[in-house]
Amino acid sequence: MVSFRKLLIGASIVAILAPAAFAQTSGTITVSGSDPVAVSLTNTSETTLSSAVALGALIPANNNTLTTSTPVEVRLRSNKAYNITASASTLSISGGGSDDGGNPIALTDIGFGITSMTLTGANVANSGARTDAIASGFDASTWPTPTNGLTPAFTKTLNNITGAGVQVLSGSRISKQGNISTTNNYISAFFGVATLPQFFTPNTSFSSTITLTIAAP
Amino acid sequence: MIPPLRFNALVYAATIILVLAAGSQAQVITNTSDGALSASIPFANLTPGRSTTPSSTQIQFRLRDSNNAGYHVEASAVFSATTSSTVAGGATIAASDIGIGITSITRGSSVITPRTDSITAGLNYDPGSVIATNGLTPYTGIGSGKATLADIIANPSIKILSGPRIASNESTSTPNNAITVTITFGLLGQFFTPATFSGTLTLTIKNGQ
Repeated sequence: MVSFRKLLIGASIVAILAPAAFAQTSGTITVSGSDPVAVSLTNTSETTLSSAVALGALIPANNNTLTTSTPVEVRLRSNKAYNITASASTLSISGGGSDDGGNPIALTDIGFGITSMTLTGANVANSGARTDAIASGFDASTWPTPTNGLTPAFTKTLNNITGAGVQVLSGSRISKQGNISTTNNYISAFFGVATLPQFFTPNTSFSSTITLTIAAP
Repeated sequence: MIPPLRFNALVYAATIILVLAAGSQAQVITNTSDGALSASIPFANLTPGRSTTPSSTQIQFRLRDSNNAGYHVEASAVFSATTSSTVAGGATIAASDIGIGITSITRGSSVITPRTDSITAGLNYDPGSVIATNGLTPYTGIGSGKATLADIIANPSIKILSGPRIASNESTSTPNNAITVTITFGLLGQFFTPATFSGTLTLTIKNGQ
């Protein structure tokens, strides 16, 4: 014989134990990540920029016509305000003859700058209203005209970007979204060089490497 | 004075209570260790590259159900992004940039067959294998077969999966009486505003299909 009180106690125990055995019927999954500060500087194939600019044989002539390069298009992307710095290596001259009191070509004889820019694209931030700033002197949309067959007054030459990188361009965020394969989220800067062929000391070739760096400080 | 009861009456009462208790909880959702499902899955490097294949990450969980009416799984979600730079005319990652799909359902040997577990339309795809044309988010939404986390947010408690009774019991101590579900998330690294983000998907298993 069991009293009703004991029955209540027994039932209560069951009622308490049953919820404790309740199964889990819900769960959570948390997805997380970060979008880091990102910048990109590529060629027109969206790969590492490594371009050779050939000025050819610089034969002096009876004119004041500069020899210019086909501008190199550089594609820029960023998700934050950016700047571009440029640095030129020392001029390497091969097969140089004797100066005999004359002058060899020098970095100061080679003008350098940004000849033009394209600033629009469906996924370019503030497309059509951008205010990217070419640093003073590096706007090479027009080259100076030589006079008397001598190196003209370039506002900037390769000699101005030797050593540490010199800022040549800056601006606000470039890309709305998309990655480096996106065809409408970049701006282009066209870099050019120019020089006037003169009776410099003969050589078989000369070269200087310009390194461009993009950063988002 | 309350009259005394016989012992078999006590047993009968206790049995009824136990049966009722078991009948109210015929479904279980767990992780693959049969513990509470509370998973955190970080996306790795999201630095934008040249790839047109999104990054993807997966989570697996187990479902058990012994209810004759079968089961269904509901999902709800929240999402937030905290920027560390100004938006400056660009776009910040959103829930609509994260694809979500059920990519696999496997059955334990004690699962009742034949059976058909049904994935809700739009969630039956692999976000990790979608081609991101032009380097942009490739997920077009649940209505066009490529669901995103935004679809879950917009439709709280949306049914994502359903099916008939899974096994004769839902005990997590019984091996092979569960189906294992894989959910895959996809995301293409892009030039989004620098930010950290987090989205939480809550899954609930319930009675009935």
